[in-house]
Amino acid sequence: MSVTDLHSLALGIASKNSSGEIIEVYYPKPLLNPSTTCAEQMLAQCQDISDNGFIETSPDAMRSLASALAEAMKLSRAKLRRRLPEVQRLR
Amino acid sequence: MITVLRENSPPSSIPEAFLKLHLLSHRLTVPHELNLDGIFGILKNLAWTSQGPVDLDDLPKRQLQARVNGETFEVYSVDKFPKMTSYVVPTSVRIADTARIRLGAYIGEGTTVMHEGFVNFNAGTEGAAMIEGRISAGVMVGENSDLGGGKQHHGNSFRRRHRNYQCG
Repeated sequence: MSVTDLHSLALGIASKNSSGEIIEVYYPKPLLNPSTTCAEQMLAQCQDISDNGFIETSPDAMRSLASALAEAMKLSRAKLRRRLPEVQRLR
Repeated sequence: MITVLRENSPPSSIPEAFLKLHLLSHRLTVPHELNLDGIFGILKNLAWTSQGPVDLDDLPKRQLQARVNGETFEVYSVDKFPKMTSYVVPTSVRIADTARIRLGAYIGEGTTVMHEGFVNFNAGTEGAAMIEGRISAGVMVGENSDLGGGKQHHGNSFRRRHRNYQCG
């Protein structure tokens, strides 16, 4: 299994209690079996997670990760579009 | 926060447990596919309020604070699971009373859940269905089923499935 083979991942917003413990998390767009591109971007931010787990990040770091992810997905879609005529020729 | 699951092992933290519940309610995975062993022990019993989730130890202070500030502070439920629609509203469903569906329920496209209908986490409907009774954890009701009022399906077998079930 490759290091980028993930079961799932998500960016979320957590609520904490007065002791600073996480009590709940909202994930607006969780991903199941994310693409390698997504996984690479995400894992670059959280190398400390070797197994299942989570890290807390600042809103700024989240924003930059979100735009890096959007950019990576755009590139990945463009790559797919470039390959489309090739695939159509093969059919 | 960023949550990563490399494998489908039992949840070991609140963020992992909530991610699995979200995956179900977003219809990214179906009931029985995720390992939810021990989830009750992981989740905290919380007050789900008009100002968000509140730890029960913090509740009296928050209630007092709200009164002092002249704010409304409603406790909707005290439970380990929140209602699904506070997190996810799946497409093409009707839900008469949102408090009756827990986060982690899988509500298939075209399903109507009437006022007395109830759907637990890790349970749901495969497609269009009319739900007026209870669907307990572990039960998946098949497409075009009609679960009538006062009826229930509970998951003493966590792999029970009902296809085209009509029960009135």
